[in-house]
Amino acid sequence: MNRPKFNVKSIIVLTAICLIVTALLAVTNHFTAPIVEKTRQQKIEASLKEVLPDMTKMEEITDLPEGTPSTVKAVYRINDDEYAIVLATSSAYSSKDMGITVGMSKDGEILGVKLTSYFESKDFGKDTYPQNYVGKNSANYTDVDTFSGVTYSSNALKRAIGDAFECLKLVGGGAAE
Amino acid sequence: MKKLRILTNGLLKENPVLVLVLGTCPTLAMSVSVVNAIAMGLAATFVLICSNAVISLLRKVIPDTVRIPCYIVVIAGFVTLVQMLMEAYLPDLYDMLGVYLALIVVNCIILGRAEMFANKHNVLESALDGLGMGFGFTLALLAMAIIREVLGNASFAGHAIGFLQNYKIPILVAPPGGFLVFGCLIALVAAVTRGKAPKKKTFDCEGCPSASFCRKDCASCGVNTEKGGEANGNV
Repeated sequence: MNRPKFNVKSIIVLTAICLIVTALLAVTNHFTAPIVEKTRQQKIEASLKEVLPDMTKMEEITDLPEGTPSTVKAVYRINDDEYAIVLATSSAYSSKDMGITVGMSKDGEILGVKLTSYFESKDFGKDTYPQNYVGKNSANYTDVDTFSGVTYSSNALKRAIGDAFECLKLVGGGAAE
Repeated sequence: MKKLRILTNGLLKENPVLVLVLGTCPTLAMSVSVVNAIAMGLAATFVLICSNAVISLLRKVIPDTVRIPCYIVVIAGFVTLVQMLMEAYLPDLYDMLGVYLALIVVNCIILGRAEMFANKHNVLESALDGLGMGFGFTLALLAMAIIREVLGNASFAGHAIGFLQNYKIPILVAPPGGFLVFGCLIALVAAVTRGKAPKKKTFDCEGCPSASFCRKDCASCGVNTEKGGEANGNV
């Protein structure tokens, strides 16, 4: 088999094409990123209302305590005695994060779970499966079975729920124990 | 007349899905619903037109040895562009298409047309080929999606069809149903285009991405030269 002959021109052309394409994508991203972020915020706000339908007052806890899991992206105190925790699973699990909003009482009981983004080809019923966690607490949330055929996503969701309990313990002063 | 023939080739005579048997993976995955099929078809059409035009424009600049990496960079660039625009302006559709949108990069139709057509023809002809092939892909997806959604799910574009609710054929929306409908449509197109579909000689070394490296008969490089062999291992 003949080996292909590479020369300087090949390297220059390929590099130039890569740079031009990258530049075009950077320009596009400059215009689309703020719109995507705005849509994401709207989705999060909608998910807060979905996991805690009685929400009348919402306050974001901006100063998260040290040791908060890196998957926790935002924490909201709802109606003084409830919390909504917004999580994004680690990119180590998938090329795109799974977005999850968990509503919890101050006592550490899950009141609602909503998947705000899920990009995998195999679905586990993204609107139904997370509801298995409703009513669970830090002691028994691991009892929820993984979904056959979607094991990685099920486990990623379970780990995220665990991180939500960890976060609640930190912001709620150990109420989740 | 020649340009009209280029444009219409992809619709039936050289339909990328039902005659060339390219892009099978997204076809089977995205033909469960009409909305998904149209969205995927239009996204792929946009990428086909743009990548064909740009590759044709650069065909004299790109050295032969690095042409495949260059094509992939151009195609991946346009796919990412579509992803960014869709995520910003059509977020619901973006969520619906999920991972299959990014997989347009490895859709054999796009690299196949770049290699077989765009690097041998001028910009206008290449763009027309992209448009024709894109519409052919969309039509094939749409035909499959209509059959699978209407008969398998008793709905059309998400709207329930009342009188069919008790006569659903659920297997049609499952993967085996996809293959079944796919096979039936291929047979139908083969019957309709009898004697007009591409002959064996179309699938020789000329269309092989490795042709410039091996320069041998196709049998030695493992590519099946029989009719339809080009589709071996396609995505």
